[in-house]
Amino acid sequence: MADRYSRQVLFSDIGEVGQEKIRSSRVALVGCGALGSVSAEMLTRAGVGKLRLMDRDFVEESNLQRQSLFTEEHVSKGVPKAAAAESTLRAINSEVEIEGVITDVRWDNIEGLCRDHDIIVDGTDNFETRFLINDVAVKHSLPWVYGACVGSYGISFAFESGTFACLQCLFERPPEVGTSQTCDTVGILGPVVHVIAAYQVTQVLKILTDQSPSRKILQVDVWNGTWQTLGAERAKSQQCRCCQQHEFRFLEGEETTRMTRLCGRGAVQVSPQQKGPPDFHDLSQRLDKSGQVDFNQHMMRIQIEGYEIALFADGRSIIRGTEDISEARAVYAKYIGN
Amino acid sequence: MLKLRFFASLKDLTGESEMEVELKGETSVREVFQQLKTRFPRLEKYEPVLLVAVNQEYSDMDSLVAPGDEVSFFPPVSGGAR
Ligand SMILES: [Zn+2]
Repeated sequence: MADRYSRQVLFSDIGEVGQEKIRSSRVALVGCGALGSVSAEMLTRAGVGKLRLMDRDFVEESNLQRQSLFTEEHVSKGVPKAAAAESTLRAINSEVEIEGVITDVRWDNIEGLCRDHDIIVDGTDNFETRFLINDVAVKHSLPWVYGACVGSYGISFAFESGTFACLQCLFERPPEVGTSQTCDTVGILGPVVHVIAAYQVTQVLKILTDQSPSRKILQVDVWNGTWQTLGAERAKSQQCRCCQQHEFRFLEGEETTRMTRLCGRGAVQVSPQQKGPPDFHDLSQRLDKSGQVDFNQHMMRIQIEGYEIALFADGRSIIRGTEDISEARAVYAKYIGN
Repeated sequence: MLKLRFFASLKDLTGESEMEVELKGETSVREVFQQLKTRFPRLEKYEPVLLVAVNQEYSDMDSLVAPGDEVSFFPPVSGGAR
């Protein structure tokens, strides 16, 4: 199909040379929800060489309003998103090597999944995974393109951390649960997904053809009609632990014990990433000398040194008596362990 | 006067997409934010995670602003519309 990319090649900033670069590129796409499926389709039509998409979910009915690669048949058969996307994309462009990987992208597999690619595209729905992507990108000098939306609002930025800011320059750590709205609570409008994905893919095409992406953070509200770009040339932090000191805490799994301050409740919740049922018997024997311990099949309550620790069967704990994350971390490590 | 702009959930929280506040002289964004918090206590939890822009350039809480400047506040946005 010699004609296939003719209109894109006619676009002078791409041309034959640019198209060849796109054709030989390898793109890793983490998350294949709304942003991911819209980006994946554009990248596939643009003719990237290889596209690896990773997702842990199944297609559900509420996805169809905005996730353009999926159909009612995918819903009724409960097809994993990565597999559904793979088959739709192959039908769109058989020249692209499409690989759908059904997996939860985590600290212990992300490097292997993303390293051998030219760029990483963010289609995730959470900051923890983005901090992981950022670690991999900085460690292996890969560019990556952040995109997120909620309601009618979206934001995007292309990270090239060698010279410019990385995600940790902007946010030292993932925002705590409750400070970022989610699509599950305030909904999401289909059009903003396409705006943000379009901006993301444009940055990807510029980077793949060795051109500078925008150095501005895009924020847009399609419903209210506001579109603003923020200059981010000065956002690089000289103290950044990730891109300056090369501490890859997320990639090392050091940040996988999630700590959440429960504002106004004088408590911190600890959700270990690897959930296994805690051994209540063992713990109670260990702790009943230093504190007061009660438990049933669902949970355990420990009163110790002015703290009250509620430990649930799914591994979660709520530590009362502090709203300080590091204090809670120390209490958890001391009495519950890692 | 100093112009303040709020985006996404911050707009819902303050009930305004923009407002103007009195400003006598140069001050830090942090100081402006402290004043805002007394009016909108729910802003507190956003303090460590906000993106701040002064005159459409990425900035932080320690940046200084003067009358006539425009400060924008953005909450973190995490959705990928799963
Ligand atoms: Zn950095």
